[in-house]
Amino acid sequence: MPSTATDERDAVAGVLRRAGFGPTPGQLDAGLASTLDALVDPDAHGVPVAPDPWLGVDLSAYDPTAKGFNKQLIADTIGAWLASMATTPRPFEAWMRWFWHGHFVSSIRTVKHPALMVQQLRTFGDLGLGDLRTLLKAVTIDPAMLIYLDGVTNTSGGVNENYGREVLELFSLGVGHYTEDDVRAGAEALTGWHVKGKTTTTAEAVFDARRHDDTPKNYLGKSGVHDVDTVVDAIVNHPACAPFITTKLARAVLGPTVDPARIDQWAGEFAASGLQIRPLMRSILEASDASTELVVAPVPWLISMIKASGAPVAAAITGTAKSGLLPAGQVPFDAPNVAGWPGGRAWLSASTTVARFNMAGVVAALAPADGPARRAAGGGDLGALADALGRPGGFGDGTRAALTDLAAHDPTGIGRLAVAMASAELAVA
Amino acid sequence: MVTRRRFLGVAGGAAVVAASGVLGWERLLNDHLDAQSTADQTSGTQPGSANPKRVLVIVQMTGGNDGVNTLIPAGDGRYFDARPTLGIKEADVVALAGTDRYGLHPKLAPLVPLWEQGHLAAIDGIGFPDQTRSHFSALDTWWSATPDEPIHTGWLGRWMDATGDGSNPLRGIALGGGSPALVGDHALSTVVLNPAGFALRTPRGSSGDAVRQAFLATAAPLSAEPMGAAAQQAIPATVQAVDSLAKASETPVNAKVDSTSVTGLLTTAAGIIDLQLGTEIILVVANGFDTHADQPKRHNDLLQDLAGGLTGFLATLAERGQADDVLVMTTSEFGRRVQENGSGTDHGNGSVHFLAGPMVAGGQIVGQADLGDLVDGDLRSSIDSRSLYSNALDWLSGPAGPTDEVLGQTADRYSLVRV
Repeated sequence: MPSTATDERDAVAGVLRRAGFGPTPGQLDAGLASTLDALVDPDAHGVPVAPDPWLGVDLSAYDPTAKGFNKQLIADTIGAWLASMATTPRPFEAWMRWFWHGHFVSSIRTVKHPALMVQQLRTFGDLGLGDLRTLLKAVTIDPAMLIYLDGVTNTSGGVNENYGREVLELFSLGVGHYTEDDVRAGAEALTGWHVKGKTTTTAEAVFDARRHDDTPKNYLGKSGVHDVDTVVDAIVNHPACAPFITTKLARAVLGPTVDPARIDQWAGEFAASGLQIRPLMRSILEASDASTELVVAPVPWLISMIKASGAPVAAAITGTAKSGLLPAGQVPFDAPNVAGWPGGRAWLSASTTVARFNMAGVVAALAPADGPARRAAGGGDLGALADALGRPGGFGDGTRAALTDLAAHDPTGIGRLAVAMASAELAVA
Repeated sequence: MVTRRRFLGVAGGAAVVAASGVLGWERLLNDHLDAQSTADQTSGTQPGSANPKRVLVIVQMTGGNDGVNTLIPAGDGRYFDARPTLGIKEADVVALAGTDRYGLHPKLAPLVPLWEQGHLAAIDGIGFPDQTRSHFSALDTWWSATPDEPIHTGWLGRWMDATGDGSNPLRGIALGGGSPALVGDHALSTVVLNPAGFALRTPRGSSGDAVRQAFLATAAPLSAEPMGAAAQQAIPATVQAVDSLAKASETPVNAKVDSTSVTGLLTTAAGIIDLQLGTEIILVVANGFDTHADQPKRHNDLLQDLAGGLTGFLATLAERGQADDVLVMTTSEFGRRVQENGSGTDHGNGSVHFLAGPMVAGGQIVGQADLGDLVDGDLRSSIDSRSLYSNALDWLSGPAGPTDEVLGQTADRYSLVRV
């Protein structure tokens, strides 16, 4: 438990950095308990509901006859989502949606229509803190997922194993907990689904019994498995499922090395709760004493810098999403493959380091001169600058010396704000 | 006092990232800020390598390339039985002199002159023993080249560890995506997702040089925490890479070529080789080979890019008199199922790979993917991928080099490259 005011501010900042896209100025004074309450259980604590991120995007403007991608519409849809991450009153719920986007991956390259990606993200928003069984059933017949992992071509006449394999390997159990026969049987049991209206804003999954193989199968040690419900039941009831999901969530928040005994305990509680995600997350977030170094991915890093600096959100997103997140290696809707973004040291590559520096420059130049971050940078108050950037404990020696030396060449503070944001220490939560 | 040299020297493997993002957005780069690119330093060649001018260029076909529709066993009727809709029509298969059993996919026709000059060899039925159909297990194995035990280093990183002092981040470069294959205990490597955006830009209203210097200065002294220290170590390595590669980007690139296509990335690779930055390994990451569905169009596009990129790359090197110093090798995590699924192919096992360049003992196919001897519907990996890698490393560092140390004793070694 925090013993001093600074320790408590540090703990609040840590939780917000790891699962809330970073603090906004003033948020560190709230205290840890009430911060956790507001993050994890906003309904019970009077936090306003977050508006849908895509209200201002006309998804019906999609042109299926366009050559190539509807680039502008895709960019607008991604931009609206990024902006909502920076402005939402419910940053933890936004973070969960972002987590599921990197876990149950679908890509715009295959899906094409951003409305289907939005529909999937709305499902993550609606179900992402509920029970895993309901979430996984929805994901299995989500239109974007059916397209991305080839459910739409999976028929009794031509079984496509893509989803059947990845749902086990990457989404629920992990390698070593299923056989090739399970992959095949699961794929067969999921035959018959396709997507109606995939170029509209009202795409829906449709089941065609004529293309479905309804033969009862043995699957993950269960007999009689033949459809979405029985496949997902067999998966979530498998003893490897709760530990797999718990491990992934715990590592996403607390860092790559989490005490296995804690994972076991949380996974047991998760299974016993009927796989309720919200209480699991509460347990993980309360374990901030178990945090280890976690490299912050480009998207959460960028959002946290925009929030901390007070830069106008739309301009900061426009100025960085294309020229920063692309070379950084993390464009939403465009994970490199079905495993999502690799994370960890991958975010310390030369490409990502260059992009971090460039994005920091854009955001710093947009930060209001009278905001706490820019004012502290221009005035040379490095303690206040670190606090504004979500580091109440202050900067390390290297960053402090570099910023002090830069003062003579940086009358506006923009340069110092940029260097502070780009520094290695702000890339690690 | 921690010198720059020192943190370059101890930084290990902070250079992995996955490929992402294209959609043509790179055209929108360079809008808002002034590009600050300086080009004031060039790294020397490495100590320790027997052949410091040689460059191994690996084209990684991520997703699992369909070997059966790449080097096509058109002389075997079982091919057409297994591929009723995806099979390439017999008349469209590109003939290869010296074999009536195999031919090339029509989009690989540009490779025929290389074959006829003896600059192209194929290795068929290649993979790792006990291959899984999981992309990610297979990729782990590809990266580490240690199928029996998980290990944190990659085979190319271990080779760099064994042959250099780890001071030059440009010795191993991945273009288009990251690769854990380059991760060593000490060796640095550089990942450039998109060469078109690889420049440091400083905000207007600040002194560009001073801001860059301050960014560098944040990297010392090193944090006691390992990940924080790794993030610091990445900064000077990155600035060095940016400064050096700025010159490679000056190579004229056809504006119509996507800079992240195989063709675009190999153009950048040729520019890097020309600059003689001490680069010995360039890994080009090509995505999209996981063709479960809609395979004909997707595979056509991928192979067209591959063939055009390879032939253009080798022609450029030949014009510059550099081709004899370069060996090209293709890889992929696995092949695909022989029996099609209707519109595509699912994950398989054995596949085909190519070696290209004047140093290749070309015009031959080693091994044979036997359609009559499948395991669970997959071609066997009867040739261990490490046989191919060892041949490449022998070429790179000489027969007295550390190939066995890096890859373990390899049962078979092929003489496909003139070491």
